[in-house]
Amino acid sequence: MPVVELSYERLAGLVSLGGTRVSRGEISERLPYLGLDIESDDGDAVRIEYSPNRPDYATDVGVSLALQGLLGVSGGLVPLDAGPAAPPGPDRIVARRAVAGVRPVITGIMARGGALDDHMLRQLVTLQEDLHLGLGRGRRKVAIGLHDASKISGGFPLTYTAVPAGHRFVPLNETEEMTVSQIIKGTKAGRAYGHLVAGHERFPAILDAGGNTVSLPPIINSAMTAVTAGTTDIFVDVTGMSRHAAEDALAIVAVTLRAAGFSLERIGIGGGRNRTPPLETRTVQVSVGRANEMLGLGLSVSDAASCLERCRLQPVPQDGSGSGGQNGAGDGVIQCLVPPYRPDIASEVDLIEEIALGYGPWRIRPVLSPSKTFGARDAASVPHDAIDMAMVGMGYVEALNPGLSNARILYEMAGRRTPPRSRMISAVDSKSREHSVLRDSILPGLVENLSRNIHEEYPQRLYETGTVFLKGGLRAAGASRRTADASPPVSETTHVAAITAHADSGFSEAKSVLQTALGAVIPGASEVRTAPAAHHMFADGRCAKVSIIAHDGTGRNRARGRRRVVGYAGEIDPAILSAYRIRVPAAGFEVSLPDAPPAAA
Amino acid sequence: MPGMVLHIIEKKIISSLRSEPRQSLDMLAGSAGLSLDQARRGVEWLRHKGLAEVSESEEAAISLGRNGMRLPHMALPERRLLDMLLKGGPQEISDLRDGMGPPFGAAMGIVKRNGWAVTGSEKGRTVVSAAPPKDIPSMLPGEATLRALAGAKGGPISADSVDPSDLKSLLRRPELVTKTVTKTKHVSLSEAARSVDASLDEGRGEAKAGAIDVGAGVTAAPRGRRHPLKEVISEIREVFVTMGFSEVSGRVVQPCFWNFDALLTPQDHPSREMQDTFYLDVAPGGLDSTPAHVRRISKAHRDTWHQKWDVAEAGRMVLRTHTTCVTLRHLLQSPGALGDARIFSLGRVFRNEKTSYKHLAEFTQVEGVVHEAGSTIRGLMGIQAEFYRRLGLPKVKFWPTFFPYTEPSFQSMVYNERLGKWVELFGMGIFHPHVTRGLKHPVLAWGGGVERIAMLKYGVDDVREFYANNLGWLRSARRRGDA
Repeated sequence: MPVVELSYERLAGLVSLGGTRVSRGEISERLPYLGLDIESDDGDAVRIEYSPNRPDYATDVGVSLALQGLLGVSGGLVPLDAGPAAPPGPDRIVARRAVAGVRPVITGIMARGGALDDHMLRQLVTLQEDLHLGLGRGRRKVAIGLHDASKISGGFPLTYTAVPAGHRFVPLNETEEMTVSQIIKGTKAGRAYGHLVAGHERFPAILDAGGNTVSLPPIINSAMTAVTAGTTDIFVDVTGMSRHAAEDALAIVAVTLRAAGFSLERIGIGGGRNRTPPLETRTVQVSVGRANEMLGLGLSVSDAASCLERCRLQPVPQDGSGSGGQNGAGDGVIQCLVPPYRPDIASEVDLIEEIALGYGPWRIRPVLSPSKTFGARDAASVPHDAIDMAMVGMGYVEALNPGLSNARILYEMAGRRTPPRSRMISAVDSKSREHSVLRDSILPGLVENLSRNIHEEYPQRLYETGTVFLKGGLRAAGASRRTADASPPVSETTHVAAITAHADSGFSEAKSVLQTALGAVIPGASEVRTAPAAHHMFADGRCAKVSIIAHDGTGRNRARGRRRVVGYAGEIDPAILSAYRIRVPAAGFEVSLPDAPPAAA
Repeated sequence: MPGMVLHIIEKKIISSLRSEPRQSLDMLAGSAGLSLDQARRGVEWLRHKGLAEVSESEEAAISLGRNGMRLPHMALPERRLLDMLLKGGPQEISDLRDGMGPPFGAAMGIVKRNGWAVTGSEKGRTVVSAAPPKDIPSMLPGEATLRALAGAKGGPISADSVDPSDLKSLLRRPELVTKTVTKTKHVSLSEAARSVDASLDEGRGEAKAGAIDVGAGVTAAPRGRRHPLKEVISEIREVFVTMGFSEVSGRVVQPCFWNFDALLTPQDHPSREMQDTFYLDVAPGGLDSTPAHVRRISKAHRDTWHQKWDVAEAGRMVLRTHTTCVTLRHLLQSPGALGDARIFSLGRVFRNEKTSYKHLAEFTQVEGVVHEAGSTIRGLMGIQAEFYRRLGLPKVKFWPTFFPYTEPSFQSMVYNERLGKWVELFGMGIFHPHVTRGLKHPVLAWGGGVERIAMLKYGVDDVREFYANNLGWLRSARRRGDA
């Protein structure tokens, strides 16, 4: 989640209005109730983490609007005052057909008469980057350009069109003219965002009336219109793939500039399916009765309305009968105006949340009512307790290894042949090689654990119960037919594995422990049998496959004596131990566990 | 020192030392009838009690070295050279060299330096002749020591049994003789031990035979134990069950449909990218839901996010990023109309993140959901507060937050005494109506990483400790008193 550093002093200045002064303490106490987590609080600087659904909190002016509401300094809608929805006269931005197949959407607004200082400029860039990342999906869906309007030398109207790769202009942060191809290959922004318009012969560009390049969205603006501290008139362009998202982003930038002291001026936009941005409030309705039901409160309609006002929303005044009960809990409906910079509010539940925030979560007292249901644990987890008891009783320490392991531990170091990709279950593009392949076995992890503990006292005895994964929907041994899905591409089975390492460890100890452990979950431990076998992890001649009688709960299989191999036991191949620099011999086993306890006889 | 409790081993040692006052450990073990280990321990105990004193002495032993063993007839090369000269008279230097081989050079140097032989020129040839016999010692330096070693078949013999300067002359020469120093411990009784009653009879005074020093330190017995994190998981499971919740389990590998789409996470949402989610290199396995549910979800996506919904994207397989896919599926797929239900799920979840002291790529999540008439946020806060209270975390408050599929959403903060601050624990909220459409009541849900609670309980500051399998920690980890 994004983090931004704000100044208490600036915040207090922005929040205070007229005669009302707010203190640092009041601000610090209320920030968390806007959903802002205080990461650090150091003198005047406060670092806050905000949720991706509220990019308007990226700047102190945005946060201060919300604080004004919550602290009761000012409530209701923040006016945008952007002039008429469709300003008279010809369109001042015209989109050409050439961009329709590449990046069809453009919108924008003019902000005039402000005074941009360094601090505000930095915050605007933060807001812009945050919108690019979240709402803009890495500039693909939406990209925002900020321009010094006074430097658009050719003036309006602007044309949003597509230019060839050889088109030249001076991009931001450069001093020489470059072609579009050079920009894409040779600049940081070009390398980062060029792929968004790759595959087209022509590239979207905004040109002024004199044919000068204003921007090459979504990659870079021109140097000509660079915004600096001192800029008083800002032209904002938003281009992208979705009109919804572009207008949402525009509204958030617009309200921020408005709160920073600019006045907004709408620009006529046309061509393609583009339109002049309406920047209109919309009406969402909320039943106060439903709000009380969900929150467990007894608010009247007017209580609920003032809660909404504290969240900078505007309940529409109801005439006469609609005002609901003034004294008791209301069951009326509130029509609420929602400003365009709050795209996160779409339906009734969103407003109910706003009512809770406006009411003040610190005032909501928890209430505990008795349960109407009886609890129970998952029956499938019960046999694991028996295994735990048995293993711990025999002096074993439980290990926990990740299910998402890696080929080095699972195969290379374990002496197992690395299977072809078609058999391994790999995670795509893992951020760490440590976590890249789902384990198909637990024992390799336990051997690796021994290698991390060679300085610890021996004997070392470890066990682990956990899920292993097999590709191809092979039904795991013991998996119940009833619960298994039709054909899951990955089967999941529970295994238990153990390892013992000390000077006198050997096969007999491993088998003896295995027998006792299985005896704890499978009636008749004497039915555990070991027969000679070969396995990559175990020394030749010191390895056995383990079989038990498969129970189906009826006892019939037992009578027939049908055996099922459930795993292996043996002495770990000394070559594996020496590769790990483990100097004591080790022995162990791994077997699959039945999913559910066998039915009582 | 009446009343002192002595172990039978100690008594045996004291008795033995009274008859033979200064003994090495080996001797003592033999004379007291103890194993060497018993003798060693007994002496340690006595020394600790001030009854025995241990002094250490060094003893040097010598034996023939590698080159010493190769000497023909145990004779030094200079002796062989002198013998040849005394028996055969003056000889040409080249004949001598041929006769002796490589040791000739060293031997020649020694005899000339000591004046036992001289060289002269005769017809242009160099001839060596022995000095008069009276000028040649009957025993050359080192020969006495060599003889002593030969008598002991090459040693070892005590270095004290030979003349030090004689030995020194041999030690100067490479690997003729080796010297090893061993330290020997000698045990004797202290003054205080005089008055100690070491009799083996029973019933005299307070010192009973067989009584042991119960205050003495012992080694730690190796202990088996469950993993500390599993202990916390069991405790959480217990709390849920006692609060009326039933456990459900499900698969780790899920189609995107259940992990994302059913929760209305837009298909182009950043959390769905490979940056944050582990996609698996396996074939899709179907959405595993009813056509009606899939249609409803598809429509909800189009209405909410104004973009088309791709069924193929929903079929990709991921490692679940939360357990909600398990609890939600249980609610929506319960046979017949679902009545009142309190369920919980515990299991591993995955995030494609770089690991750090506070983030893991794979961790254990617990989640509870409530489907009851009259469920409210206040009720959810009440369940939360009770849940934490039962886990030993009594101070809790709630802050608003954002989760994509609950509305309203809060996070619980609990106060931790050790850290002296409020710590963020589980998230909570009411599922968005789109997510639970078809159910009778709104559904309360909360959950989070179990490791966070375990960190508070065990005073662990690096979450990676829980999966590091560091035996030192696993064997010694203890809960903090306050949680």
